[in-house]
Amino acid sequence: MKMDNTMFAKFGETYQPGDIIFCEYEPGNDFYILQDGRVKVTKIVSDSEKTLDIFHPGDVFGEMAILEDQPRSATVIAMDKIKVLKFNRQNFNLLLQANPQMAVKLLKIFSNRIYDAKRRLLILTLPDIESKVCDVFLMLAENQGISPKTTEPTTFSSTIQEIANWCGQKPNRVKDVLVHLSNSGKIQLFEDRIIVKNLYEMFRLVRNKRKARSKE
Amino acid sequence: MPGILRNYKAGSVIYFMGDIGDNIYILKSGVVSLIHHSIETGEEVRETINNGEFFGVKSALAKRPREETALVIKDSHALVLTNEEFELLITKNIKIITNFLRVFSNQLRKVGKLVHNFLDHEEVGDNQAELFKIGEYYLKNHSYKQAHYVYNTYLKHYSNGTFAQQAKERLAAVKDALEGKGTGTYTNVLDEGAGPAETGGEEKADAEAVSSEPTEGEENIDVATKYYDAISLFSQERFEEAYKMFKALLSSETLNADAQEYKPKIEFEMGRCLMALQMNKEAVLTFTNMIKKYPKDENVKDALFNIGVVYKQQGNKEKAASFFNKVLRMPPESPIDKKAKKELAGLN
Repeated sequence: MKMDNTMFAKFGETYQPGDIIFCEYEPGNDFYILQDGRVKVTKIVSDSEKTLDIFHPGDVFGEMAILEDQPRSATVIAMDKIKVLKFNRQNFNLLLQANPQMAVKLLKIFSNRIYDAKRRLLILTLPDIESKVCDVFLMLAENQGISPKTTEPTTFSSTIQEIANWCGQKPNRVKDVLVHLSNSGKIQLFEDRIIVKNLYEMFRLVRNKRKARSKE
Repeated sequence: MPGILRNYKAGSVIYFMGDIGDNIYILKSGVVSLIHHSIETGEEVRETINNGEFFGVKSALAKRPREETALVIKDSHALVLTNEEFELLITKNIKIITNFLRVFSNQLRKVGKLVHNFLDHEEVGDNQAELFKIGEYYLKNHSYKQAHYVYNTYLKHYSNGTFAQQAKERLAAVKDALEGKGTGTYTNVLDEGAGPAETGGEEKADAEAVSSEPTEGEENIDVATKYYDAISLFSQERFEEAYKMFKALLSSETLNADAQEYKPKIEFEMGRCLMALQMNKEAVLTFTNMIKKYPKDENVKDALFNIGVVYKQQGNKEKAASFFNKVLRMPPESPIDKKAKKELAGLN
């Protein structure tokens, strides 16, 4: 994503390795286009810092801020000496005019975000926590390009906290469900991963719950 | 204008919900309806496309399945663009992009609101306290640069916030540490923050709220976590380790009053471990004790069933049958009844 120097003079910022660009729970309305170097996206989960993603030049982050006034959902930390362009709702149009390619990229990001949000909504509309947890596995499989109809064991590296976030439940309740699923032999729990033995079984369970709900 | 102009007859379908396709359409003449089911209510929703309007954009851009079926109501003409042609077209016309961004952000906001409505609002927590806690995490891990940023940010947004005083103290300590004055200062300040000597009544209460909350939680989590770990060992078929872990948990002092609810569960699981280890006599004994001690526990029926299974394996049909019958006689109905019936049938 090439920008001329006048753009950088206006909107550019430089950070040193280890600098925080913004942190989890911080209020903020800016979004960023990475020009140079790498940043990591982290979150503190059960008292340890987890890296969710690493971004490279050309990547956009913090873009949700131009839509809503929610605090940041993760922390972004510079891994190298980095250069970013920083925008907000006010100067957003300037960016679009100067860089239509970036605008197309944002359209794609938003399209994907809408799909993700709708998929999450589908999980939340399920009537009970067990089917919600099962549907989270199905969604994670879909995201990895795995068919939810597979009967082969499928490995997931998500944490309990993450699963709980997806289904909007307390981690302890999700844990109970996982224990129950494990006890009935449907999943295997490891420290760093969960193996679902038969995803198709979960697919059928979720489908039936959804059918029952739409009949109500 | 790039793209191909195509004719569509009334009653035909341009694409179906669930189809994968990267074409984007502009309606030139006629009438097209987009049909989808509402996520909230499951009801069918129809939306009419006007001449000159785009459709199929979001799915094509995101390379995801179509969310709706595009049904032709009256004979129509539509311009069909590939993803690339569409990109070329819109980069030359910023107005289209801004329009789409507006449409998409409205949709996203709408879905976001629905998602938010479903979430337990207690979960969201107090952003102010959470932000402060992020600082505490970095401080504890000696990541002074990051802690410095977070405390600064906290004070920028919540200069009169609940933790403002503590944030200021932490910030001073972090600055010392960053300037190489050592970590001694940092510990001191942490003590001061939580101690009664230097802080006033109100602040002290706040400090306690911060420092005592996690510890209280931790004790409960401790039993829950260990129980979960043991279950996890069991699921990995490491039965002996699981058994040892359950046993240690049962006898440990960490099992305080709050964690009593775990006792019947743990004893039941120990029985299952013994069963898996083929230690039949011990398994029956453990289940029997558990049933005696907690006759109203939710796992009692399962325990009775398991005893039946052990007897069956030993070839003691009579005893096995009596336990399966006990399962069936005991209320409430549960999925285990079906299994018990099956086992009973298998005995004869």
